[in-house]
Amino acid sequence: MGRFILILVFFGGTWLYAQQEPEFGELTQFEKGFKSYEKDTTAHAVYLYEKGENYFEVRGNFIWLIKKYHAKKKILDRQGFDEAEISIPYYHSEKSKEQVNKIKAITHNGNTRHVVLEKNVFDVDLSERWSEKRFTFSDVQEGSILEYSYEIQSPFFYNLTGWNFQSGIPKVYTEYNALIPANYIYNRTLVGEIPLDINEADVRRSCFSVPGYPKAADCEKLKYVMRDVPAFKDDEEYMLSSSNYRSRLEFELSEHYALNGIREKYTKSWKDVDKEFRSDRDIGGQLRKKNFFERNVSLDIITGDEDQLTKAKKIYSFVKEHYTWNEKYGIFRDNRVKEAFEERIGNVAEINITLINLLNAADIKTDLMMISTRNHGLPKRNHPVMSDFNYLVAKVDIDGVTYLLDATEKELPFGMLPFRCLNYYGRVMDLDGESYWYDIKPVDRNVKSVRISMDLNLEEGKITGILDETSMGYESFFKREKINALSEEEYLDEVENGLDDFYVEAYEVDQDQSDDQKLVERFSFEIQNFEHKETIYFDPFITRFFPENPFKVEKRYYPVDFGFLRNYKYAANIKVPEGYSVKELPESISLGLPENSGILRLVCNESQGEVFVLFDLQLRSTQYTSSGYAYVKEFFEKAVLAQNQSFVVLEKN
Amino acid sequence: MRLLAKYLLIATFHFSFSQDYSYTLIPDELLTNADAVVRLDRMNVVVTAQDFMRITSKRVVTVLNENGDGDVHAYAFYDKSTKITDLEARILNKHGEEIKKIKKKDFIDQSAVDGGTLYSDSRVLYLRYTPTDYPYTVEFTKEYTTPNTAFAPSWNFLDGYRVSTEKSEFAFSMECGIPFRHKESNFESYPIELNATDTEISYVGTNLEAIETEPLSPSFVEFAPNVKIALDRFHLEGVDGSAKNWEEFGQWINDELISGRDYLDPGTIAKVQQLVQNVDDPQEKIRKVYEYVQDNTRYISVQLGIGGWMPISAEEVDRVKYGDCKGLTNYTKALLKAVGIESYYTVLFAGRHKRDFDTEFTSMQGNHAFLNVPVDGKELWLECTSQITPVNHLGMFTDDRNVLKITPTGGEIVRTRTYTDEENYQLTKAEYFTEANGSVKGKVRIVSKGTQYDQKFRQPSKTKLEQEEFYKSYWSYINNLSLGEINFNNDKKEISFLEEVDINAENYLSNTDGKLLFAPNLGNRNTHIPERSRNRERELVISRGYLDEDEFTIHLPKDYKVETLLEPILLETKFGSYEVKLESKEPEVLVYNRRLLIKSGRYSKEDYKLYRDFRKQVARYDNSRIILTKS
Repeated sequence: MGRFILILVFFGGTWLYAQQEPEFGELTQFEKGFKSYEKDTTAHAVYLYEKGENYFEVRGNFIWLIKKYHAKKKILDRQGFDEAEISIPYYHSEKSKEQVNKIKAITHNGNTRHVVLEKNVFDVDLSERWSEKRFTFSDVQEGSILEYSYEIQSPFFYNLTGWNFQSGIPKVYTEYNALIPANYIYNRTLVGEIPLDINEADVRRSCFSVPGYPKAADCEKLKYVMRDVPAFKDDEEYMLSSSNYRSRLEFELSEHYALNGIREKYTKSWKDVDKEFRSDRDIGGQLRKKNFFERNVSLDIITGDEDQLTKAKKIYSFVKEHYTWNEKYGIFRDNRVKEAFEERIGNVAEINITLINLLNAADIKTDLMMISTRNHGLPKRNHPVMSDFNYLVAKVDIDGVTYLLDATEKELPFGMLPFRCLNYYGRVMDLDGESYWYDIKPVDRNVKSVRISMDLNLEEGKITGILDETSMGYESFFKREKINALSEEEYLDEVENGLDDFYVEAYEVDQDQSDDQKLVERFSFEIQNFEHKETIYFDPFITRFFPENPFKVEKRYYPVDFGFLRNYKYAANIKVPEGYSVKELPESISLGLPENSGILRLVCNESQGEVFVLFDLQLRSTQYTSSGYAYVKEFFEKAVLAQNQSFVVLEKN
Repeated sequence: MRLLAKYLLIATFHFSFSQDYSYTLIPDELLTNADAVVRLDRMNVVVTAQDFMRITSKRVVTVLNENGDGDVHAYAFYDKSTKITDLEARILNKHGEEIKKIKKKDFIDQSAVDGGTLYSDSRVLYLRYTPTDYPYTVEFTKEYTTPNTAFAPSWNFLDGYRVSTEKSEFAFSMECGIPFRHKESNFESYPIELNATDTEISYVGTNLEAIETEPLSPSFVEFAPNVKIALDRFHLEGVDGSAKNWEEFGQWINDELISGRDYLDPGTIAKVQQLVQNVDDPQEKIRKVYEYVQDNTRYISVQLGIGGWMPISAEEVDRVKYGDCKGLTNYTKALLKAVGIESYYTVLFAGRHKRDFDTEFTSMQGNHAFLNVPVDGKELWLECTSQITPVNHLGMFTDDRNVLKITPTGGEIVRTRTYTDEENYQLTKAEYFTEANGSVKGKVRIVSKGTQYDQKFRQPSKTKLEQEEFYKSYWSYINNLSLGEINFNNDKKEISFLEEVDINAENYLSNTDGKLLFAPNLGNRNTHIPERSRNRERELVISRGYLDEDEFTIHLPKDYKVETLLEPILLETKFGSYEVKLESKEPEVLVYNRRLLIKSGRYSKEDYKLYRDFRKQVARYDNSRIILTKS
């Protein structure tokens, strides 16, 4: 993708583009007079002006993508000083690199100006493909206006990626311009809910000419402006990627007509993608390496005569066991399945391509499904944007049932995806037919259930009992991961340290009742320092699922997302001690979230000298909108309250 | 036949030189409490000139589980003057067989800039390896040269917690006749051999067992064996130096790194003199100049070559209005000089964990610089990298430790200010109103001083949301807490911070059986209990003490009275004391008084359990509830 076009003949003619552009270093009356930002008085700094221009230009025999940037930031108070540190990332591959040119930076303090010297601009490499220029403004004060501009000269046409209208500080004015010759075609998407104030698209005749080619190309001239863009606020717990909500314009290179008339398609329709995919060396090609595995994997896994499901499970376990995941995703490039298989270390793509290959080799219908992780954002549905995807899994169909598989996590049961993949949908790349969207539906039964029976031993001042904890679905996966990372002693220490005066006398995993989707643990315990009086206010909750409300802030900007349905259950049996009787039980609670999307119950009763307390919290939806946040917050408040303030009152006879 | 014999010979020859690092050869006692075993850690340091030192090392680590991955240490730092001449790693499986070889060019080459630094020329080559099975072994060889003999390598026979050492060999050899010093610490209980001549010294340690982590323990360097080496004549990034003691060392820093870097242009001098024109009190002058620095500069770190140790000039800081700790300290010193006040550049180990300069061993040390100003017979300390720290507030960052003060006539080790337990003070006063429907509302006023001031004085610069999060987690035991107005007053002169917070919460009181239950301690509960520490081996260290006093006036719901008051509690222990009483001053009004003193100090290992019991009791009493009945 990253090749640029060599122009054989070169000559001087260029085109003019810039008009009424504010001079660098000049402030307008509005900017000079700007004191505070009334629309957001909590802001520490604000963009007064920001402008980007992207266009193509011939420089020294090559066509380059030029990205100009110019900004003025007002520092409102000392906490805004961090905004004075600027970093300009740029990209490079083995063959070519972007250049950051013409960096200019001035601090305006009233009428005095301080210039950032070239020697104070540093070059830092971040990774194999990314570096950045870094500098900081000098003499920054409250009220300073920091102005800077630069230009990136890029050989990578796909790096015309669009514009971020929204950032961590508010913007008074932000403008994006692009002048794109008609022979480059980009798909574009406006993300976020803030409307454009200016949305102009014109055709400019004969705007782009290349020396040696007689006919100048027409251009599309784009101008997009937003005014008074609020700061983007990141949310707290339980949410999808913030990139789903941040206002920005996204471009993706779709096709290019070279000057010699050859059309190069990048991405246009899913049909094109499907076609390319089949021939792509990195993914499609790797999928056809059946022979390799047939030679390197013991044949009975593939050709055994069990039913398909058993066979699929065997293959899945084999791949999980065979590989160690190197924590990288790597879906589009640098996939070396053969080498990875031999080294037994691989990224997501290598591991799951191995899995897909083996399943297909065993004649189990399996396709590759591209997805995006929760952190990466939801893929756009209206047209293919390949960079939206960063992960791939296997989609397997056996006897009319579909399973999604990922072999990167050793503890992950057949048919479950890691939590990071629970991002609603993905695209199945059917090598023989057309690709299609497919929903990711996590298992429904994700349960954490605690069952306790206990005796209050008044004479010795202690409580003894048995605690059975059952974890199902994701809860069981998380629990297993945790237990495996610790020795049994460390694990029990952690359990004990989390609870007051709680001592584990014996511990075992009930292997008979446990399976790959379920884990049953049994703790025999003793609680010391139990004090009693004539009237005992006994707290039946030995352990709490939510000791405090996970939702603390008053306002939420984006939906609450739990990823999977959840159920928390606590059931306690308490033997009423000799000589005491029950005076009062906690009041029962029965509460729901709108549209039956959540249930909270507390039920208490007494029979035959035993008190029974049941707490049940069910989340029946994975996502709750930000407008419904108040309900969710209150729901959890009630749940915390039910666990913290329910007392069984026992009285001496 | 002849050919084969020759082949066999070579093979045997090779074999006899390659050590067997099979996992099964590790002695059992080295596996206990260990995540990794250092099979061999060998370093040879050869100094051939005042400005040339060659370091060759070989390190073989067997990693037992995931937690041990970080103990491999297969990396090498370099920059313009430090050159890596040889670098290689081999990965061995648990039988000691090679599964992968990594050459120098396959190491990842990256800038070693940390988060807080704008730029540094330091770079690092490191090995990225994803283990497939445990245990595995990494053999790592490295050779580098450096002119910076000011940093003669020091040597640790144990890496850190949960890592054992099978063999540790360190040799230092002086080939150019410069006298050198060495200091061995904590060798007593370890089998370490030492061999020394005039020009060489070497150490061999064998089978050092892993040490388990323990909460509230002395710091690792205090009990783990280590060696420090220093040259009497050394070199640092183009600058020669010589020093046998701290006085001379300080003299060198003064003459070569600091002196002459305090020039300011006359305009700035005039400006700062103007600032203190009508001020006579020297302390007030200092305050004015310090606040001028705070108002006009900010902290930005740039480290290039000698700039890692030499401050950028005061003139340059004056121009760009930023600098790192060295640059800002030197700049403040220059400004004070302009108004006739002498002050001293001071080097130290900064950080929450107190770390001393070694009084008895002179060598390049420290990670921070700040300013010492003697005035009116006392010493003031100025932290020049902060825009808000008051004059002479050290806090947990720089308190109570040995530091190196640089004067024009040499260096001097001095101790920074120690806060007494009582000086780390917090007073919480609250008045709150409870209602029969379970709600509570009121106002809480908190005054913080000493190191407790540290934890609070940055509040005003946080966003509203961060403040909200802070208080909701500070009072996390109050469910569905909502906050009203929040006000702060930072008294920089007294170094005392006031918070006033309006709070209110539904269902703070629970209604059970027609009675109301609630905990009268709403404003300051100490719910933290130190972890259990089984088979404890080391002392208990409470590095900073504190005193909390609390006074809450509680208005009961109308027509309610107390069924049972709390009995007064008084716990006296060697670690401190705890006192609580709840009294009924007038009908329907209760007054809750609480005092918790924690004493800093070192206590025996047996005391740990007693200390934990004490904290458990405190937590329990802080949570105790009272019962109200309708009158």
